[in-house]
Amino acid sequence: MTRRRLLPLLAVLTSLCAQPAWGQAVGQAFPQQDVEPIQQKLGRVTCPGDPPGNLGSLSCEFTKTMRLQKFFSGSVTDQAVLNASFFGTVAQFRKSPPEWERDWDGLGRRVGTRYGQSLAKGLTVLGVGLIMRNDPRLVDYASDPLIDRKQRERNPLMGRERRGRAWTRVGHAIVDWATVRKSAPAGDGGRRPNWPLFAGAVASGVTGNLWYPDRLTTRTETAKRIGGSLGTALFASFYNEFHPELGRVLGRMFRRGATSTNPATPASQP
Amino acid sequence: MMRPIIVLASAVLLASCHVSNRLYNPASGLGDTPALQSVVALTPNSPQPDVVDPTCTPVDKACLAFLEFDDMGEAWDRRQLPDAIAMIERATSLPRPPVVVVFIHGWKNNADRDERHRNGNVVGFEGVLEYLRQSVYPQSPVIGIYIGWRGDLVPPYWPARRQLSYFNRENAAIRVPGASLTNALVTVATTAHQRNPGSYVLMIGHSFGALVLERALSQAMADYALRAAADTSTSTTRDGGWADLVTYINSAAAANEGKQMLDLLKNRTVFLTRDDTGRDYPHPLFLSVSSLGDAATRFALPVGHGPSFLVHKSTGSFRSYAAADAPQPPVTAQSAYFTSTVAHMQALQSHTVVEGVACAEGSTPLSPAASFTLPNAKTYQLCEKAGRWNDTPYWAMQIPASIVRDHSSIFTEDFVKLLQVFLPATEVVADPQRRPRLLAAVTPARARAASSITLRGSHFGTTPGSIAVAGQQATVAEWNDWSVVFALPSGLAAGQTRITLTTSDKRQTIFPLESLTVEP
Repeated sequence: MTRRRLLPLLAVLTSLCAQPAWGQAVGQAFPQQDVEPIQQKLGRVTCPGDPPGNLGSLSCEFTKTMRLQKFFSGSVTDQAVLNASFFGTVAQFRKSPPEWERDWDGLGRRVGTRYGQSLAKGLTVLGVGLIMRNDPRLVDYASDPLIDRKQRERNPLMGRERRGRAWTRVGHAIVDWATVRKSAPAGDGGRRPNWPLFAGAVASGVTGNLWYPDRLTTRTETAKRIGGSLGTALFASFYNEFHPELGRVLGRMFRRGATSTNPATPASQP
Repeated sequence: MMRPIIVLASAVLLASCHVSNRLYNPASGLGDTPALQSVVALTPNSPQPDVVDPTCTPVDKACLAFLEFDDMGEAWDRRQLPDAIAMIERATSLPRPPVVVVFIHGWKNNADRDERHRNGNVVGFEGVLEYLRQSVYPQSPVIGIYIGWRGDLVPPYWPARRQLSYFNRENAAIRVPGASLTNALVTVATTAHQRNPGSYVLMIGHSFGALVLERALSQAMADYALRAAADTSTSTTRDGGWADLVTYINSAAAANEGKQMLDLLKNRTVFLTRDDTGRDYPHPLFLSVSSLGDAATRFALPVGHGPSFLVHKSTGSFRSYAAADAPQPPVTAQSAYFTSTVAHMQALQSHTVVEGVACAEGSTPLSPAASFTLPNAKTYQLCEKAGRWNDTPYWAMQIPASIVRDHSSIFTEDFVKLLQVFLPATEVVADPQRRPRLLAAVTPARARAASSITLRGSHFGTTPGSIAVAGQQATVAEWNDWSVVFALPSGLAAGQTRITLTTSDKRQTIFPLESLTVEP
């Protein structure tokens, strides 16, 4: 009962957080320079997530090759095997689920189940993504082409300076998780619900039922697995939004560069 | 029975899946893919960014040639270099001297320009060339040389194994710079300079490409510098095979690589002279810049070097520098250089780049100020670190992440704006007589009054000018375009002194103070 009340509240809060990201940025001041963007002159584009003034992109489209690459690298090949092995081994230590013994057979089941789930999720994301022609690459608030579109058209330099307040960015991270852009040459395809993500999470959760003990194939347990999958995606979206700050913190923590152990030699004078 | 077979099949599958060791752009007349040849013309405003054009001449367009090297460091196709040289010769025959930009890519990249899987560095470098042609040097021919090697070993379908190819590719980056690559680089620079003394040659290495470039050039540089200093008669080295600026961006070379060059320059074997364009600070000959946002070389490189570090440490390969070592190193533990890069190592940094107009405490602005403004209206100032150990023409500095965001984002307008601070202005490139001086040497470095002093360099002019030592006019005995001999005036105070060379057309070259010490 409590959960039922909490969920709508969370949805309302989420939409409130997300509001500035959907609409116009509030209180932003951008340099108003009338400079022709060099990229246009050179036939280059600055895709969402690209550095400002990028000279290295010809198109922002999410091609079939890229989609296949994402599928294979994330769900089939070594990374998928490593992920399944890592989390399967952790589950082995925790003896989760307890019905599976802590032996080679149990490890095989734990790893294999996770790999199977990942494969099912990847296939679903690939299929639905192909139909929707979406661009699943995450984009942070500062480089989201769909925000302030009119302002951006007037001032192509916008985006270099857009920062956004913390809550605005929190909202954006949620929006970027819940919705997905359509693939477009300029990277500005419209947003739509992130059906590939949701379908992939469901596929992953349901596929697990093929192998998990009966106790874990109930609707509740399946929903938990789906929620876990969505939560991981949400975490990835938050990381994408806030990783510059994280990088700065790490940079301060691990500030590198040996300082001189010898008295400095005076600089030469001209 | 099945289990070993599956294991074996998996192992074979993993081992055999790699990006093939191959030539991507054969020289003209070779290969069965005419759309992929080694010389192309850039076509920025069309759907295809480049087209094969074996006779490309950089008039109203930029030209690009590919030079590719195999995994052992040999040239894949020996006809690529003549094709590239022919392109340079066409460029140097134009009325205005060309800007020649050489680029060496890093890890996970190659020279693939097949439109189905065009390499990002090829696209990016082409973009930078076009930017230089259209926005920086609109009146000068701009040509590029893309140096390809097997930086990409594992296809992106295998992300984990691809990351682990770091060690393998680092070994390749150490192996590739052999005689073939050094020959290509020196030939490119020599041809450009000898065919047109006004040519400006810029070499750029990124990530492991910087390691490749540094290794390929270091020994050639040492040889060139020493021969330039000793050459008494001929013109063989006066416009020799040396780039006007060598830039390492986000270099993945351990600082050990650069330290030897720093030592060579620090020992004052050679100098880079001041130019006469009103700027009183010396141009760098080497420029190593690394972004503060580059986690790959700030954090991952020390981790990646960890296993080798432990092996070297346990086998006693590192030593501590002795107090008598010259020059006295800034950090005495040799091992410290192995786990950092020249630009990230504070003790080796020569300059800083700060946002705004005021230099940070402990550094002073260059005079005249060297600042630049990005399109976002942010201004940056280049400052000289006070009391820096590295006072050589090998400048090293970290740059804010707001200029270069991370390890790979180098093909941007912002980075070119930074580079422009070190590049000559349009009118300087257009005038061979005004371009920055290359290396010069003063021999002997210590002398008494009335001794004969020889200055070596380039572009001194064929008509004798004048020499002043600490303000006193010296008697010139010989004068040619690359060498000047004069007698040291009497009555000079003992110690380091300044030589000022003024050509017949009143251009001044001021030699660094350390270049000559007057003995009592």
